[in-house]
Amino acid sequence: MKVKHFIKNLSIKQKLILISLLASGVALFLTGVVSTVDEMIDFKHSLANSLLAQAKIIGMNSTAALSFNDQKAAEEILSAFRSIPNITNAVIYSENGKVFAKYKRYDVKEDFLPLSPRKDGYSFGIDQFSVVHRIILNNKPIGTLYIQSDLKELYQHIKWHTGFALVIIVVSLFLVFLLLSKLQQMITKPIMDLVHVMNIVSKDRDYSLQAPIHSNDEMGSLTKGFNEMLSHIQDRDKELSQYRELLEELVEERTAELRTLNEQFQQEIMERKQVGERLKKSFSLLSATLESTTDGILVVDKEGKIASFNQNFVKMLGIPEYFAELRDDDQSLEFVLSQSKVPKSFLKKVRELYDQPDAESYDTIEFKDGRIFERYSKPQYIGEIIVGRVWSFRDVTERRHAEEEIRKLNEELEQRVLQRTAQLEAANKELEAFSYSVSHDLRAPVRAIDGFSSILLEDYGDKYDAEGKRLLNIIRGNTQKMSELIDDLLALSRLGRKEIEVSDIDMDKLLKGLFDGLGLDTNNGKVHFTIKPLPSAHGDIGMIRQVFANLLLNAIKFSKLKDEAVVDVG
Amino acid sequence: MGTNEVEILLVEDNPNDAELAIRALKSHNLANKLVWLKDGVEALDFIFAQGQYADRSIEDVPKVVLLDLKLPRVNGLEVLEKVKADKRTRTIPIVVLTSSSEERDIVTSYNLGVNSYILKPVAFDKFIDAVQEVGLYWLLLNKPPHENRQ
Repeated sequence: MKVKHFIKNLSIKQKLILISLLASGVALFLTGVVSTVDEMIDFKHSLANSLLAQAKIIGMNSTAALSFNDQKAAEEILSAFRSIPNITNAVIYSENGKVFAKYKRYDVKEDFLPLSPRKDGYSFGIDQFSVVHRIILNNKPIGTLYIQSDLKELYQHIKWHTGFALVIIVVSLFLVFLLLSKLQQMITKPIMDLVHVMNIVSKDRDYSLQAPIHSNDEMGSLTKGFNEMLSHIQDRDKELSQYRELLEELVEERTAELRTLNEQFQQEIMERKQVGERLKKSFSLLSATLESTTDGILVVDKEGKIASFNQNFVKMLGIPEYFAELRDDDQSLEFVLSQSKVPKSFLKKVRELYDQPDAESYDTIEFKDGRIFERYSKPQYIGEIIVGRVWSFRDVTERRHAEEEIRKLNEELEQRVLQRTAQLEAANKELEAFSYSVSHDLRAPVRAIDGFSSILLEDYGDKYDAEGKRLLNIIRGNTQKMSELIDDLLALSRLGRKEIEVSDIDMDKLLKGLFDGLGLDTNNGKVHFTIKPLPSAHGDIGMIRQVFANLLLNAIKFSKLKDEAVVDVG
Repeated sequence: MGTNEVEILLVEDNPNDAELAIRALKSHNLANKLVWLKDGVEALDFIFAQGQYADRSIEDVPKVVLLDLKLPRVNGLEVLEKVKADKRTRTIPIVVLTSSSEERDIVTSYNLGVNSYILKPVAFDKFIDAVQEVGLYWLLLNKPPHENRQ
């Protein structure tokens, strides 16, 4: 892994060189190996052939020995191998399979005793190789010759060959290296220039740079492309900076807007908080108000579920709290029904009102236990929309009873009043009648007294002296008074009898009438009346006339004492 | 007291009032043929010439009847009614001379056909004047329907 990593991170130049070297190396190596192997095989063949040839010669030389079974001679022949250092063993087998003669190099310890094959051939081992040759005389095999040789030559050859190859390889590689060092520029320079430009661009963010184009190959395309890209980037960059400026402006605007909005928002929040506080206050006020009234109040929403109620409602209707908690109007109603005297109509009314959400109703409920409640119902509005219904209950049992009492008392009172009135009227009538009859009946005697005393004066006046006349005049004067008193009494009785009729009164006409009626004119004797116009009045003519008559008469009466009296009327 | 001609029939139960009235009429010489009766029964008997006045002639009608309403036995309204109901007597002028100012009495009287309704003045001198006026009017100014009999 480390190696991989290391290789990956080499520069392109190094990579190229490495690749080339590697490729070249491998090629050279393979070539070397192949050539070496080839050479080795060839050498082996040549070795084998040469040894075979030797074996043939030796064989031919050994035929005589074999034919004559001259082992010694055979061995002498074989010993000639001493001059050939690479031969390690040689053996001749006779045809019967027995060793005829053998040779062993001085350093060889073991005997070489292969089995006897039937054909000529050779075989190679690791550190030796051997050939087999059938010695043939007159087309008849008479023996077999084995020669074993070491492979020193071979190996030397190989060594030399390999060494040479290696040297070649190294030199080649070196040359490759040199060549490549120069030639790699073709590839790497464009790349490096590009990389360089890229680095500058990257470092300085200067997109106006362009990388130099060296050639028309892929690198050229890449560089062209890169340059295009750079110019695109530059354009983009310009655009971008324009946009950025725009954006910054927008952002500033937006920020300003946001700031304003934020301020507004903050203000709203504060206001909301204040509203919240006020709401809290209102709500607590409302709750307190709701709880402070003696009425029982129940609010239901449009579906008939209980939205709110006060303690009095629960107490008054005797509803266990948990019923109301269930928020199901019907359930509580059931309970109430069991207490009510008129269940059907109660529920019917409620159902009716469900069908008429905007209706207001007022009625009275009588309970089985004698309590009487007044019940009001009104829709609950938010603005123009109906969102529910409010019921309020008032225990008017006591009040009703009190009212009943009052009504009874009133009736009694009225009765009594009527009685008293009747009594009073009767009494009044009696009094009036009495006054009337008294005054009426008194008139006749008064008239008689007055008349006869007058006649007395008239007929017999000459018979009386001054004193007598004076006495008679006293009688007459007193009868006058009595007459006046009786008139007043009569007027009083008449007043009582007659009802007051109110109408417009022409005061001037009334006064003139009075003056004429009383026999007055403005210059009556010693009394001087001045009459000024009076505004019209509104009242009972009879009574007003009476009043003025009394006033005038009094005025006259009491001004009799004066010499000159002035009475102003007006 | 039967008479041939009666001019004024005074029906008044109060002797004082009667005396004053007669005095008043006398002072103008109107009381020459005056008859004074004191109650309603006598008045009816006189007018209808029945009872104690059966010897009278019913056609001997007075020129005017001065009739008080408050009479014993039979009251003035009844007298009025009876007199005005009868063909023979209904043309007799009847002047109610009474102290009653009751609306009831006035209306009833007029409904029964009274010719005049006079309230007796309280003051004596006025009373005298009133009676004199009445007398003068009915005896001198007014023309009765039975004039040819005189």
